[in-house]
Amino acid sequence: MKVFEQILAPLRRPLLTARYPRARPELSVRRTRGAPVHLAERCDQESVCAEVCPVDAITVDAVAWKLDYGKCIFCGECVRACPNGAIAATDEFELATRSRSATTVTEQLDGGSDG
Amino acid sequence: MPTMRPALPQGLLDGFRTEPVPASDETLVICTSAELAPLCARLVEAGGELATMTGLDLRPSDGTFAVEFVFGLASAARFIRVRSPLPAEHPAYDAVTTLVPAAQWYEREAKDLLGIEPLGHPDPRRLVLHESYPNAYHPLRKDVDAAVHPPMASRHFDYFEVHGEGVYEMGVGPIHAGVIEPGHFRFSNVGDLILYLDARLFYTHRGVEKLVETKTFEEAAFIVERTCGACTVSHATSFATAVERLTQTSVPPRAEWLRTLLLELERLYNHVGDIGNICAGTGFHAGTMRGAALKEQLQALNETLTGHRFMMGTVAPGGLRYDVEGAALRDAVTTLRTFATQFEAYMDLILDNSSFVRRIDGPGRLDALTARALGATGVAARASGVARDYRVDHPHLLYPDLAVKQQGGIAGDVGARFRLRAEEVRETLRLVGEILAGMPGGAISARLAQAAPWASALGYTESPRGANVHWVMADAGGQVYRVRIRSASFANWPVVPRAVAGNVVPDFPLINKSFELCYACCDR
Repeated sequence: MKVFEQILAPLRRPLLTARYPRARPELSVRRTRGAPVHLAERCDQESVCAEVCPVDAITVDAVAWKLDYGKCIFCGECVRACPNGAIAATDEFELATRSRSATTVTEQLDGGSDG
Repeated sequence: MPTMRPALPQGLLDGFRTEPVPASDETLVICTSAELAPLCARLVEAGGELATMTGLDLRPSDGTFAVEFVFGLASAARFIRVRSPLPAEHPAYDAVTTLVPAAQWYEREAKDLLGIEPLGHPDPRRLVLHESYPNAYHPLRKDVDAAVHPPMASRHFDYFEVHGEGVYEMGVGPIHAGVIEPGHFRFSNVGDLILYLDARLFYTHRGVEKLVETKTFEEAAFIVERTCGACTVSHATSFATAVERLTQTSVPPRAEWLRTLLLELERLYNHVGDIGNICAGTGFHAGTMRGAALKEQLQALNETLTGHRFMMGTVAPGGLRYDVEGAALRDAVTTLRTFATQFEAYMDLILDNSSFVRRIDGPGRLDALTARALGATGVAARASGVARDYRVDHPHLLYPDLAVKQQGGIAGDVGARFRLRAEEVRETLRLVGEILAGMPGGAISARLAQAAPWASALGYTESPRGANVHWVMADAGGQVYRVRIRSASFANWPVVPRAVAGNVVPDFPLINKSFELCYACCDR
């Protein structure tokens, strides 16, 4: 009898397949540690994020903030370390690119502030 | 932690000099290279289990090389570390393997990576560094720059050969038909019968131990926990514990509770996945797919709790990097209650299938004598009647209070390892239930104290595959000088060929899956 129960069980189950990527499924998990993203307006260019990054994925200079998602291990140290909250944790997981160089995101910074 | 520690057997270490170490359950004994092998044999006779062994290049400290063998003595809940200094110009000693067979791979590894010669070793072949590396290249020596690649050349490697009428060799791997890790298996067969198996691993040797040297403990933790994907929490906790014992840092209670919780959740998803994979070894796909679905639920739970399906980035020296939210802990109770019901239905599905049961009972027998002599650990040891479980033998984290029920088997075959995992899943569900019910609040991490120069300590946990033992030494400035990662897979791989010999070729994948060892954390 168990065999029949096993055969019938899937018929009672709801449809689980999602139309991904056309429709993005709602994530069942609330706190996925996905891609960290940069908020340029809060950045003071002090490079604290670059110093704490254990894999040296972040570089900061006078004109740009760069993060190589190809190196990033999604540990969230940069998010924790930034005193201005200029790096936000997100649950973004779609990070595939067509070339290795495209894994680096570059955010232009307003380096020469006149203040 | 119990306040009373049982005494060492009378006269065990009489006549030997001991040196102070920071951890209270470790004793460091110094002996000459001539005394080394007999003393190790005496410790094994007294019930000692080889927990790890490391070669050391101490030339920047006291001008010597050294080897250190570490024995876990469950009866005294203690580790005896036996260190023998060796001269810098030609570091060599009489091989311990001749008296303690479990030392065989450790000594070959120290020879490859540090150029420390175990004289009279019965199997002096290369192990970690394949024959393509030049002869005098020993990357763990301090004067070797790992960034400079040595010249590689194609050379011959001697596999063990079996000769006789009708004997043929069959090579499998290192590239396999499935998406699995690389290893080369050289079978000597007569017909379908396997007479002998020579397994060659370390294709994924990445030099993890070299990479972490000179880094801070916090930086090293990120690398060490990535030694392997399946036992991440176990490696991270073993390393963090070693660092905390080394620096005499005490961890807040909530961190200890959460670490125990995560370790048990790691055991849970691995055991369920492994049960599914044993089904794959017999071509029973309904069992495999159902196991994968259950494992997926558990990994989604991991992600809910820690933000990561393998729980990476959570455990760190000093405690935890992220707290687990109360809502997530409450979700876990519900999820695991549903899981427990589904798991029992899953076991019914599998064990009702007589053609599956007849495949798993019998093959891959590992006897207790071999398991003990070759230093097996975890499920591999317990299913063969060797009662070894660090959660019971060496009190740590919450385990003494949880009173873990020691599970075991006797048959030592595929079926015994399969059923033991099912029993351990049930016990783990009980432990997790107790942890979730009593979880205290409070801080989750403490500031690491400064390490004393050249101090060393062990850290250990019982992973799903057995004991992961990390040996850590600080340098003069309090950073990482040496880390030796003894994974459960490293301890268990040498017994797999023993369990395979005498079986038929079609049972090899099944037997291999019943151990379900990791290549990455064996190779490092």
